[in-house]
Amino acid sequence: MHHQRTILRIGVLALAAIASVQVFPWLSGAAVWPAASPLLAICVAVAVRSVSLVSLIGLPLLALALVRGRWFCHHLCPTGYLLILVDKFTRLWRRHRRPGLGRRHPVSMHRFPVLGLGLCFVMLGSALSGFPLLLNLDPLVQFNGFFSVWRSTDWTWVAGLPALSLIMLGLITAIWPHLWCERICPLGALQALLGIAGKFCRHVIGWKPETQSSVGAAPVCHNSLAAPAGRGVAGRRMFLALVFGASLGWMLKRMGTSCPGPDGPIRPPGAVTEPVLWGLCSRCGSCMRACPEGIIIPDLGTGGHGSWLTPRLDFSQRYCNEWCRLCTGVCPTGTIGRLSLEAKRTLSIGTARVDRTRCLAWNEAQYCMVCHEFCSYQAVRIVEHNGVNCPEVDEALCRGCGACQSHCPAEPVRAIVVHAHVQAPVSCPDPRVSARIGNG
Amino acid sequence: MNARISRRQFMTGLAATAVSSVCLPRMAWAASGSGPTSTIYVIHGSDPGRMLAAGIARLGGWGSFVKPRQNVVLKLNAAWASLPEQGGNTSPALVECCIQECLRSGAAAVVVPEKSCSSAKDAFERSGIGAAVKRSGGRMYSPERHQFQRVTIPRGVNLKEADVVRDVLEAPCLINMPVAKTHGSSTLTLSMKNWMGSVSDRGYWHAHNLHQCIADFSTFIKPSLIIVDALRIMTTHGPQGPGKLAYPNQLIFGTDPVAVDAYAATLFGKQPFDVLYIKLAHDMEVGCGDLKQVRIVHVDA
Repeated sequence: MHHQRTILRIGVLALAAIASVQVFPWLSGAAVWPAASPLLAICVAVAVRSVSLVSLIGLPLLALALVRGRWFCHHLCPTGYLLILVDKFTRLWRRHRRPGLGRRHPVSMHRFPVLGLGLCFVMLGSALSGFPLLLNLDPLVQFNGFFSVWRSTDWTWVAGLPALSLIMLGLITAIWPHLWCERICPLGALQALLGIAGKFCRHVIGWKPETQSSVGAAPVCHNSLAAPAGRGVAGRRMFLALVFGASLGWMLKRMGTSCPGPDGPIRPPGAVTEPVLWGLCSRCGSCMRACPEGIIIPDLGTGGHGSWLTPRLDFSQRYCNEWCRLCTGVCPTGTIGRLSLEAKRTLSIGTARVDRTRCLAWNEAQYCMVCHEFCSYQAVRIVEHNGVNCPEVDEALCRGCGACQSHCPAEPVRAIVVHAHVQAPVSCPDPRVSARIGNG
Repeated sequence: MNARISRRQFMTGLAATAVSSVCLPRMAWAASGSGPTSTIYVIHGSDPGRMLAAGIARLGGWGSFVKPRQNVVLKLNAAWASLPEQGGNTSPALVECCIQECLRSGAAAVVVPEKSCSSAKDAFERSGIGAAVKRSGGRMYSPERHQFQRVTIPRGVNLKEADVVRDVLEAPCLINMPVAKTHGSSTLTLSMKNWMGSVSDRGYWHAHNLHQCIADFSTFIKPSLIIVDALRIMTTHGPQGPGKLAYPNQLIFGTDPVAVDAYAATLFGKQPFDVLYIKLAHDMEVGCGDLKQVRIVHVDA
């Protein structure tokens, strides 16, 4: 029985890692792991006031938790298993260094994570206010973040930031092995709570499942919610957590501006507007991994205080390819909405502007026009000046894809730079350009 | 035995000698100086395969370019993720015929390195060229950083060094097969401009007088054969398009890049020297851009 469970856990861990690294052509598989978390699904559905198809991926685990409580934690959770492995290795290492010191309380999931439940209610409260907080605390999101940073080329420390939360979790576990799963994990707390609720419901309707001790039967939880402080006190605390989360979310939402400044970060196509994006984005890194050009990087606060680690586009080397919409298919929270190829190609995510004082054509009369050459949407017009062709941006056609910026040879600062604006379809897409999709 | 010649015979002989001694050297000089200096073959038709065969036959057959058991390197234009009928890239049908013929003529392999502007995957796929090369048995690739080699360009004015695809540099038989189209900065994309798809730092060219850099590079690179695809030409919104198309239905064959480009420019209603890099290359004696001095042979296929 124990071996069966170990094999199951290793298998799930490997599958989850493969999905998160996105080595399969069915990239949407990457969205599955974080989206399978009922906590994420509930928070997102509450925050956006609608249930999307991706949210429904959380249903099986929700149902499982109602019947079996924290069965998922004991048998499937890849993050939990990683933490168990970290703990085992730490103990081995310690025992090797100083024999006799290895006897510590191992990682276990049997206690009820009261603190986690508090966090869970803070998350739910903030979701109620439309600005979900702390989504990154979901263990499946953290797991995905760790594996989504792997790329074969152009690895920078900024691109590696989504991995940080799981690394920190590992470090915490190496010091306090039972801290996360037993006390803090909000997903575990939610499942335990659902387990109790399910038990209560079954008690009310008088239904008793016959096979309580089937495969790897784990206790729902040893300590009930009410055990340490009494049912009433716990209920009051959770209510306070809910109110606290709601007011915090409401305050942060009010503090953010609805529109980023022109120097703010350019978001991937289909992204929700700010500041909702700050909350809704779980920082799982899936979009960054999905981008074949590697231009989606974590923001370092250029878009405001809440913008940390959210995805932004970096046009310094490459640009958002006309025929690609991979990032729009992997977001587990709907921060980056799904787009058809046609919708993506007519969506403007920013506007390029020419700085004539830096432009080689305007300023030095060079036969440059690289921006015109690379623009897929014919948004760079040719204006003759001093006998050479000079560029001018047609804002009605510009998609802000960054092709011009990434290839501009002006040094050290590019002469054509994409500035942010609220994403909107272009007002008059060129019919010839649009027609290309028909026979493509 | 009357060996003496008559006065009349003497006078005739004298006159003939005088005339020939004055005129013949002049005729010889005229033949070398102001006659056609290079020859290009313009093949008119609709079937790329037959046109290709006709053009190569005029140039002495594939045997004069393709050496048995040696590689052929084909520099075509697959820069953009646009469809074949939009004229942004070389015609895939022409590419397929060319590779098949090269292999049939005994080439060990046909290698097609192309540093595209759009992402290589999209460009090779949407242009239809990736599939055409695969079908015909060639090998197409987008060169990585390590596949370039730094070379010096001794006669370069602005472009003194460049990183060029190694296969292009080492090719025993190098075929340049551009598509003719307009260009926002170089006026037209023709055979000399096509080499920008074999170098790593295109931005340098744009920032340091593009026309001069194109001419500079042409002093260095010597293709064995040039075939310009002018089956359909993009006359507006080049180089990426989509733009207006014209259909000259021509293939232009030659070994002199300047002459080939000069003729191709006329298809766009331009004088050859309206395109600055053709003028510069002509002045640097890369080839002859003055069409009066180029023998243009029109052939129907």
